Amino acid sequence: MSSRLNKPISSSTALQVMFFLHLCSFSQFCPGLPPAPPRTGQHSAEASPISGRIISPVWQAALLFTHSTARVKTRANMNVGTAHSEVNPNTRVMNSRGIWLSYVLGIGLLHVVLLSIPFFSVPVVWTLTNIIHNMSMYIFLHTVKGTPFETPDQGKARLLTHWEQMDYGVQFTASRKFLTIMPIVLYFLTSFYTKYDRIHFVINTISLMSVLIPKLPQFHGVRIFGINKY
Amino acid sequence: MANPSAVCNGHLHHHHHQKQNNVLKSGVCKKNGITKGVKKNGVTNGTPHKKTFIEHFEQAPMYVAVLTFVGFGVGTIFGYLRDFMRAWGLEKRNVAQERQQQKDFVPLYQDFENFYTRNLYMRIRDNWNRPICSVPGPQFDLMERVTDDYNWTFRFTGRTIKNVINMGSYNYLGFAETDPNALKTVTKELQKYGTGICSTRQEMGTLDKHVELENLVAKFLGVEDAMVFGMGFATNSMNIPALVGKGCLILSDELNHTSLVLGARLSGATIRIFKHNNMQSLEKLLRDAIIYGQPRSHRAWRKIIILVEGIYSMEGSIVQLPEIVSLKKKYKAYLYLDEAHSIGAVGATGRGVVEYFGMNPDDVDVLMGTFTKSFGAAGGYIAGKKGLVDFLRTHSHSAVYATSMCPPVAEQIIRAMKCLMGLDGTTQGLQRVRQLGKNTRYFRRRLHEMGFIIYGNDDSPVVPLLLYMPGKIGAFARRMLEKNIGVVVVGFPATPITESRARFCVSAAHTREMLDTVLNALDELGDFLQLKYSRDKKRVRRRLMLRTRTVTSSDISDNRLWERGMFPPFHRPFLCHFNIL
Repeated sequence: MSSRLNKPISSSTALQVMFFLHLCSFSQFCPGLPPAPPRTGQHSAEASPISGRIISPVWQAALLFTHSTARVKTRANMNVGTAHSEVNPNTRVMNSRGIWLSYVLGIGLLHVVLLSIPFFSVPVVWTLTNIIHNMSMYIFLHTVKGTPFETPDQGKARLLTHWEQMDYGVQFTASRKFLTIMPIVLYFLTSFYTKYDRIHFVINTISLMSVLIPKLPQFHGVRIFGINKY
Repeated sequence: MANPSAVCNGHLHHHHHQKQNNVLKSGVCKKNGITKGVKKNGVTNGTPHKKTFIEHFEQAPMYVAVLTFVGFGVGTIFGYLRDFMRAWGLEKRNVAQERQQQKDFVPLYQDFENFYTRNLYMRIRDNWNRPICSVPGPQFDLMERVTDDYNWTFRFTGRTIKNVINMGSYNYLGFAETDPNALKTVTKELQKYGTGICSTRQEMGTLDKHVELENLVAKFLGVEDAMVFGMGFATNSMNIPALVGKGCLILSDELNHTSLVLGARLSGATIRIFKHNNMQSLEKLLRDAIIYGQPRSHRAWRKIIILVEGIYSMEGSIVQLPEIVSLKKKYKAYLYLDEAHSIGAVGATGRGVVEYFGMNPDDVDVLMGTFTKSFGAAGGYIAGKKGLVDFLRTHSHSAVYATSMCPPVAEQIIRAMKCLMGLDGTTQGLQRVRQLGKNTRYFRRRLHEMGFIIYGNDDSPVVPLLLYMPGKIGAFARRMLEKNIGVVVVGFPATPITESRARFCVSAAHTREMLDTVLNALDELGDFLQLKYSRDKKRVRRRLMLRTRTVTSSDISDNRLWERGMFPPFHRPFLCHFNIL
């Protein structure tokens, strides 16, 4: 599993990031939260090139061509009675064995439940699946902040959403790519099954944007108009 | 001559000075530079005996992981539902409330941080912190407690559950006992010295008891000198800062204990973590450290020290000491070995992992251990070369600021250690160590055969049994208590999310009957809760082999097979131990 963290960015992700480069102007609306500290900053003086910081477009270009996923070093910290020295176990949940499969099965279950409601047609069911999936993803990954248990990191993760906590803020890890691709795949399927109808298209595209934009590295720690800041 | 170790006529006069103290504290006689050690059986000339190192970390089938996440998902959904009902007054709130006067203040704690505690931990809270009312030996007495409101509050019924088999205490050699005969000397010392020493080691706190204990520890481990401290945790956290500082590099294992981590953080050195017991990871870190040096200046590191433990208490794995020592010699690093769980528990005579692998204690620079687990006492020690220990006597935080170990506890350790070394005239110590080894191998072998997934080394007395699903954690612990067995269970976030486990600590004081009771209970419970996930092909092969092999009478009476963990001794009906498929 750990080998997946070390692959360089694929070209499709690179294109996607280039496409949304101009959106970094959003960060001017509101000063973002303090950027997530580099995960090794507390113990080693070495500065890793990749951290969870809000990065300028100049660096963005450099990022694309460098080895982006540095090996994630776990921090050693005070964890009494634990079986690991992981400061925030939330960061590892999306890399656990079997969670990707559970996620896909969950979407399948949702779809089947919606399909079994008699008065929904197939396009409506697909649009509903897409909307409900994206809404749940937005709530659980980009709205709920902090951890459901107390962590010994002195509150560093308390103002971060789950997406920002993943892998301690390292961008373009395997789980992040998976969670970015899933809504896109669902969008393709939904567009196909709704036969590219105009209204469905508008709804699905807005829903997709609401879930893709917060995942951009430029939006790490950004809270537009101060919504959901504390 | 003014300087005894001066060079004279081309010869260092060191060995003349040495003649007076050619008997080092470890009892080893050194004369003319030649060391005469106590001859040990079994150590061959030439290449050391190659120890077979068998560790299992089997992964459960994928459906188990998926069902674990389903379990957590259902728990989370119901958690949100209950929170909603509590927020809207549909359900009684059992948590502490803000005072009326402070209703409009900013809350002290975030609601969400407490989510897991309120909604998942509270439901199975009765499995932890159970009050006991006897010494935690192989069996103990529990105070019975019931709850009327689903574990928010408890009340005692007044009854005691007697003779619950204790599979959770760190009592490896069975020294947690209240037998008055055994504790005669301890009682005497208590009368003579009292309970506490209100002073530090450097002021007035060094008694003859401490000196006696330190000499004994050094002799036990086969090193030059040792120093003891009052607390095991504090031994690590106070002494690592004395040994390393800014500009040094600490390479610490992923699963190191909190005390090691705290000591490393307090020291101000740079910490890098290598994957658990993974020599490639460690070697890569060592090479990078030496090639690139310190982060910005690229100067060489002042010191590189490797922090490892003998046995890791949550995984049951044993450190790969020969490989680490060879790496340390190749790259010229120092090694700090924390034998909290392994001293007394592994090794042919209970001298820890160094003896387990047949290695020389001189290879490990700092030997650290605690007296809490195998000696039935409290405190820790650091042992090694005399220069190291003298340095710690002057520079350790604990020596300057912390009170020293109290004399009755020191006497308990002395008596336990003398028993182990055979200095009390009996072979009881060696018997305990052997019994622990037998119990460990038997327990692990039976569990493995039954089909449970067990982590760790075949020789480690810490046995984690994987439960995986959050619902099974509570069910397992409660049902085991109903069968009069006390176990320790651990779940997320203390373990990785898919690997909740029950951790058994085998003791030398457990009799065969007790272990059989536990194993039969586990067998039943494993079938009822469906915990037998193991798909290990070797186990299947062995079960088939046991079924088809004809057992001759000579096999039954051959007790040596018992030593190797094959057949139980003669007086048992042997067929009941085979799982007839």
